[in-house]
Amino acid sequence: MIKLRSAFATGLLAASLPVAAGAFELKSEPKIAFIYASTVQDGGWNEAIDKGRAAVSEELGLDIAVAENIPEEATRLRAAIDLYVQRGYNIIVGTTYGYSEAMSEAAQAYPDVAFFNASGVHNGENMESFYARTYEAWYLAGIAAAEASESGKIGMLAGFPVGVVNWDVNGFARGAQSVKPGIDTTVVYTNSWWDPVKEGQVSEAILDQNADVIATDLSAASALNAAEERGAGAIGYQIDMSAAAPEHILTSVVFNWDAYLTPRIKAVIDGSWEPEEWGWFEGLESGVVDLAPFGPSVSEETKAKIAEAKAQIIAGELQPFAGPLMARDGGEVVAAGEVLPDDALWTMDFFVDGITGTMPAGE
Amino acid sequence: MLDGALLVRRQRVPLRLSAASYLGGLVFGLALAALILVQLGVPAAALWQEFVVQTFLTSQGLGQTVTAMIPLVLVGLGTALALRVQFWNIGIEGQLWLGAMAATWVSILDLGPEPLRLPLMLALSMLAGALWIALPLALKLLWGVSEVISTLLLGSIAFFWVQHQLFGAWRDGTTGFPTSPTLDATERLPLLGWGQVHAGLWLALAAVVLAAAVIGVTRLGFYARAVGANRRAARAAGLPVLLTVAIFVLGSGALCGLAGAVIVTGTEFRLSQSIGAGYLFSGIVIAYLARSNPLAVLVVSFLLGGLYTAGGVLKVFYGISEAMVLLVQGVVLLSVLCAQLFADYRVVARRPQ
Repeated sequence: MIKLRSAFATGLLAASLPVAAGAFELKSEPKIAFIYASTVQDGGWNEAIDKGRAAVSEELGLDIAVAENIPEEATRLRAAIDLYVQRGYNIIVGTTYGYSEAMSEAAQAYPDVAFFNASGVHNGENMESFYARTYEAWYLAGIAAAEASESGKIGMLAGFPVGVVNWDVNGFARGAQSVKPGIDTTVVYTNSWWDPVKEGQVSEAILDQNADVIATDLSAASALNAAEERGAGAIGYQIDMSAAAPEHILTSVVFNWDAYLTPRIKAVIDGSWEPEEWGWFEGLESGVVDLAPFGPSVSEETKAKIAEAKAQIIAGELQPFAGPLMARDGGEVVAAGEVLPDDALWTMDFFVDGITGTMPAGE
Repeated sequence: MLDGALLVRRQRVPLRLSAASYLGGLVFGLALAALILVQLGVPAAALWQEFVVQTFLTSQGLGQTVTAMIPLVLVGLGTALALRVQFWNIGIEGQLWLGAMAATWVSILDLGPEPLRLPLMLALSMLAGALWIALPLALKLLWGVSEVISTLLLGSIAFFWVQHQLFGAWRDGTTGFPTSPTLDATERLPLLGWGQVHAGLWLALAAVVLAAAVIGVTRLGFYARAVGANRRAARAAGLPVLLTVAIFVLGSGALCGLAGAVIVTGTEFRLSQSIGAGYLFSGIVIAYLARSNPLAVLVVSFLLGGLYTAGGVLKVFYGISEAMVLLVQGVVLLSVLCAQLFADYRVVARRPQ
């Protein structure tokens, strides 16, 4: 695993607890709880994590408690954690960056409880944040999109302009450019994580501008519905979204969180868990992020190209953000022969060359 | 049978009757809520333990309830003050966000010497909240623009402003996520050593006492009662109507702004997109149920805080969905509201002519 000084590092230094050596040990029988900010059946982010939870539950033969719709407010999250801890729960998994602060405080208040947080920012003796290098899989999806496009224009929907979203957008564009250098990637940010109606309208608008592939970086399947109706290629996210566009789906960028959660929680239970100092952050090689099975229209040739790129990324020979990397509005970001460091990934606030669209409310 | 009865408004509602109607409504609502919960699969035997004992009688549960209550008291009082002079403040969340932004701004710029930082954050939040409501107030007084519309729209503008700051200048540079950097230890309201309960409790209680004193004892409170009952009559009687309305409405904005700062400095320790959501609904419900009486605001906020704590228990241990939690909370609140009808009106049989 490549361990670079990431945003996790600086985040930890700011909050600062020295990480002691040695593994974490549970003081009682394992009782696990997962906490979600909205409903589990959201068709995307939460559903992907909950599949992981179900897999852990089956693998370990333990019931896992679930709390849905716990808002990203410190008081509400803390109340839920307090209730769980009071009743003997000792492994608590959060599912959003909005839980980071309150969870970190709770981890300090309950040193005997193991805390995990998906896309969180804090780590400690009994807490680990985790996320995946999703841009690696989006790079592969970009290849599928460019190969399918005849108009030379592909589209993408994104949520808020934060680092973890911007790297998906840029990874997608870089992948597309790797097979068709002049291709245009049109991106629209919806400024929401879940707004099916708006996402449908935005997809129509992108397709009206002559794009013939549309990808979504969000949890709803509106973009895929629009693509299926108009006969454009579609790429989903979080879970396999092929049901929404059975004919025109190309693939989906999917999470397999159980590849992380099962061994991690097992380690907590058998007493060998040592939280990653800067958080757990891996890509294709871990299997946590991957592509779903390809749709019927994807050619064997395209599949071969994607398989090759995937093998190169896993081997460390190919880096989606290797130099020379040009920002659309500001020259060279990474020089030839260098790679974008992890801390720059987390704060990525630029578009690579070849993207059409605007990033809302940037500095 | 219905056309044989008349509802006659009582001239004066006896305290005993008023209290009985609240209590009756509450009991009826809770009974209905219990029925729904049992239908949803919560064991009847657990209801008392989970909702009464866990929410109000354990130190931890009571701490959660009181923590939830603190900002509710401030927005409830804010709404109540404006309602006293017949001003509908539908922009509670907007003033709350302005207050939260003001506090964050002071923290980011490190304004003032460290010991004065927190007081400055709180004071500026009140000023910001008051300024944000001053605009609709001026529009209403000068040109008769409906404050329902103008405060509501300014609320949306405030939200976009928060977003603009969070995705722009105030974004946490280390994580790239849309939250402001965390507050330093000196910029936080001290914890009182009881769960997450913080010193904002004293601010909320002081606000209640101050509001009760102004309304109950001072001349200004008397003016407000006259203005609220009939603005034109008050003006004809030579009372300072404009001044009274301005003070109460600005006070309303200031309290909502303070609520924002209390959330930021007391529990969240940073500005994020999710703070303040839902406080418009809560503020209006509290002011209405409390009939704009500051002491009643305290009681209602406490009970509403309890409903939120109980809602958390439902979600955590019984997997009850958010929609059902809201439904149950709505049933309780609605039945308390409806019960007031029986205090306000007498049912009189219509006599045949």
